[in-house]
Amino acid sequence: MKSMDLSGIGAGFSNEALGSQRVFRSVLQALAHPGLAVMVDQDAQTPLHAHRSSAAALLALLDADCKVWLSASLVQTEAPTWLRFHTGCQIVTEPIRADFLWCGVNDPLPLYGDMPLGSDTYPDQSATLFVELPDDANRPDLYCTELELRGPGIEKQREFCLYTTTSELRNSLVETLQMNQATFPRGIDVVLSKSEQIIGLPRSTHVRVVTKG
Amino acid sequence: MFHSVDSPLPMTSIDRKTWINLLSRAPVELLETQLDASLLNEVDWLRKPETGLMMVQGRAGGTGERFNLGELTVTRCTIKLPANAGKANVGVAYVLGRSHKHAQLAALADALLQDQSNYNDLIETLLKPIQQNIAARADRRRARTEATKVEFFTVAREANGMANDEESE
Repeated sequence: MKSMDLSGIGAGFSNEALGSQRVFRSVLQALAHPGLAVMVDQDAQTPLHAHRSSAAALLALLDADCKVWLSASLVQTEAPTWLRFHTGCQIVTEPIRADFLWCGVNDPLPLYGDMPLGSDTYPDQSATLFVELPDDANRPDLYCTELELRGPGIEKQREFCLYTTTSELRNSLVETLQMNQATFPRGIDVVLSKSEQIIGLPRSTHVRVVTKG
Repeated sequence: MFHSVDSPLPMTSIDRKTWINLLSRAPVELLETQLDASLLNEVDWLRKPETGLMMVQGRAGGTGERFNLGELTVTRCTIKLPANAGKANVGVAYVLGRSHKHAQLAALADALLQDQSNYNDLIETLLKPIQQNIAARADRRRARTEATKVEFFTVAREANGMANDEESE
């Protein structure tokens, strides 16, 4: 086995059990209330080039049985070493083999058909997709795509503003969310992240695009 | 892949795999006297000492199918020394048993040994004594075992008479 260079990575949660439980609670909150931004309160030394929220969520969720795919900008950083060191997960290069997919800011998402959607008998054998959104509020090129969300966890409907800077990311995200309705109960659970917050969009949420900003 | 871990080492240059091996089997008292434990107050803990079980696997005769031999108690930790000239050395330790102190000191020694300025000193003050200690322990064990050695003699039987008697009983 190739040895890892550990000099660039940081520590995990200062208290493993309580730290990961607190983050797990945030992920549950986010998936139970689709479209609401949930703070991820944590103290891990997450990789520099990743969002603190998504890195901590993966740190809490992964274990040695999990396979993780990272997008091009993340796989070059210390993020895969950090995850592997602390969780023992396996890093894979094909999205179809992964249990968790992690996309850095403005990296192209894997094609919908290239991600594991589970089967009709075992829809749970699908992947969870973490997508980091650009969240610098001052960026002039940030525009809002207004989505209307319906489904479990939402009483009537909820307006959600999807902030993106590239139309590629916007289009592939919206496509992924809408394909989820076509393939239900198979599909991908999506977790969007800002630097300190996560937003859950599980496959049970119906997404309609109101405006294209 | 089997090799004798107690075979003497060329002491001029020791690679990391060898010194991690030595440190993990060193007596804690020796590590405590030869290392400055106060350095541990300045390090970053990438992984604090934690004790758990590890499955040991074996192969019959070294070539057969893998099988699970049993579980061992292992304590591990990983530390990062303060950066020195832009490079932070990371020390890793996996030791048998549940001594956190042993894991911490072994990781500290691993990190220090990666720094060329400490390397030669530590070989003299730490690794050589450890090796002598391990060799002495092995010698004592061998002497204790040798003392109980029994020489068996095989006495050839008479060709006729005795064998027939046994069968008739």
